[in-house]
Amino acid sequence: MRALVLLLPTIWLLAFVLVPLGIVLVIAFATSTAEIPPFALGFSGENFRQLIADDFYFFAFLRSLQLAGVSSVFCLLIGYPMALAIARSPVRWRGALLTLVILPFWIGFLLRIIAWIGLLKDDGWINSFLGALGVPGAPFRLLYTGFAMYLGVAYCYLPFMFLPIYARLEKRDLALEEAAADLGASPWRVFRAVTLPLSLPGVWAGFLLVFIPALGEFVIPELLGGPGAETLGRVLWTEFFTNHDWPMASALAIFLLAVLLLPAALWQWWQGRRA
Amino acid sequence: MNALLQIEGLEKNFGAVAALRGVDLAVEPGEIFVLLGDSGSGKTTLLRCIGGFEQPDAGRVFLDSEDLAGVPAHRRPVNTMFQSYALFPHMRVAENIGFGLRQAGLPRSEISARVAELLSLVRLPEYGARWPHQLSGGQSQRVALARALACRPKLLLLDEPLAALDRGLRVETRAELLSLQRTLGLTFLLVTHDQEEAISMATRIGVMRDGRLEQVGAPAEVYERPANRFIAEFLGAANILPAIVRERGAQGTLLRLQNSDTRVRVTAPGPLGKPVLLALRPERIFLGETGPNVLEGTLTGTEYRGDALELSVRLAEGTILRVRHPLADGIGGALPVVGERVKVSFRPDAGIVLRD
Repeated sequence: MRALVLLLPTIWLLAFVLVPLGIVLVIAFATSTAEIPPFALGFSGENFRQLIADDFYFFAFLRSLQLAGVSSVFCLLIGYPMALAIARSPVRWRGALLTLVILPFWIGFLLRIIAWIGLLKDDGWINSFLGALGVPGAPFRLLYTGFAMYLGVAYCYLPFMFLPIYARLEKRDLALEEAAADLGASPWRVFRAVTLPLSLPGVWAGFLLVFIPALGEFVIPELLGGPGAETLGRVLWTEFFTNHDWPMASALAIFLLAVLLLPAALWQWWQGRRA
Repeated sequence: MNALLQIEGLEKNFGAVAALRGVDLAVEPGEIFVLLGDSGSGKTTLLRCIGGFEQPDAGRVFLDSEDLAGVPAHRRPVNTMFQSYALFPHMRVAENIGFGLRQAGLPRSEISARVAELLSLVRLPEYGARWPHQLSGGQSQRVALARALACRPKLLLLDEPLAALDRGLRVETRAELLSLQRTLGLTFLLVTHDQEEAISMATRIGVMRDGRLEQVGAPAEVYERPANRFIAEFLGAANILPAIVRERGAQGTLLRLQNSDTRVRVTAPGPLGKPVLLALRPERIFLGETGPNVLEGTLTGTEYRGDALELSVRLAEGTILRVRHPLADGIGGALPVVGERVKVSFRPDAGIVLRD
């Protein structure tokens, strides 16, 4: 029975995670050709050598890091106060407030990004409004900028930051906060000394949930970012679909995976050591 | 107004539920005042109003003649020992104990000296570097106490301080708490639902019920002269017999038990001609005809307790009387058998006369 229960997830992991990963790994070491499929199997480290030698990829990686980092911080700055406010609100309101946070996700992802284009473009809602108010310098260039990109990523990934923090704050022990106040801590000190440190696991979880997918994000930089915003996700897309260089695209994918797995593994190890 | 803590007309409502309905209370310096009551009686709400965690709807709280209205919890010179102990799980024992001192802005060296002093006071000198989750229940309790005492509060509020401990440990900790209170000259306001704890620890007891303070007095006073039936039954056990006052005079009060011809004489006064309740403590009733007041009935149950014999006696009118006959002199013959007719008696000063 136990084996039977484990069978399905095992098959799933094998068929949809391990085997595709193996295929990508094999292609990453192949050489690009002009045939179908566009690669010849082999064991060449050329793709990885090029990945390191050509600083185009390095800068794409830096841009992705920046995008993921800045967006994660935005998410944290918006998500934490939101989670704290909802966790502190009366119980009868919490369900409705949580629904409001999740509600945008009932609308398709692409539709929401396209809505941002309508808001941000030169003759969009925001600029029209600013123009009508007579704000000098309007219309501003908002769309196809770094700002639009960060905004888009922060907007789309906010719930992934919000939910783990909220889960942590919602079940916090109120007696601990009262005990801190009782011992002379002002509300701000209570937050600093008790509420915040005890919610940090939620913050880390949220940070990883935003940072990791944002690092490989393709759609938002493509639709909202400027032409120079060549993030790793966009480069990968170009290599695969435009240049038909499957081995290079695979090497990029493997590189990204390694970069992401390393901190996650370190984190696991650190957590395990603490326990 | 010399009391350390003075409470006047305190009221608190939670929605439609009244938790406190006009509580007046004065706690003198150096005393252990125990608030005794069932859950929902308002005792914890009262404690939280003093600590500053609840705002009363009406009434005032004075500490050392200073009105605490509008003073937030973190500025009140009282400290609380929480029922759950509420130790900060992310701080070591020493950091927990020093938390209040850090908030007060004491220099580091002074804090560590004071923490070491407190740790030895609660007999945990080697435990400063431990985490709260590494402590046993009794140790957590002592750390919580040390933390609450660190800032030398004028008044220490203790919310069910012993409830989470095992029975044996509870008795031991109770004695420790008492000796600590005496040596340091502290004032305790302690909340409990355990009447044994209340009686054995309190300088004075305040019995709470439905948001009201029903009676305040020394433990012996409240036990011997309960103000009403609720208190008589809540503090210890009591047999309640409805009766009518037939005579009152120099020899005391003559009562006729209701639905019976039995007459008994008690020293407590009662209103002539009015129905009252006669309360009798089981341990003040003896098997046999040893006093002037004799009740007769059928034995319906016996329990041998070693130091005493607990009997249930059904009186003629149907009331079951609980009797705790002491066995200080041994059994002295055969134990009575269920179904036997027995006579029990009590002294006139054992009878408590209650109006309701």
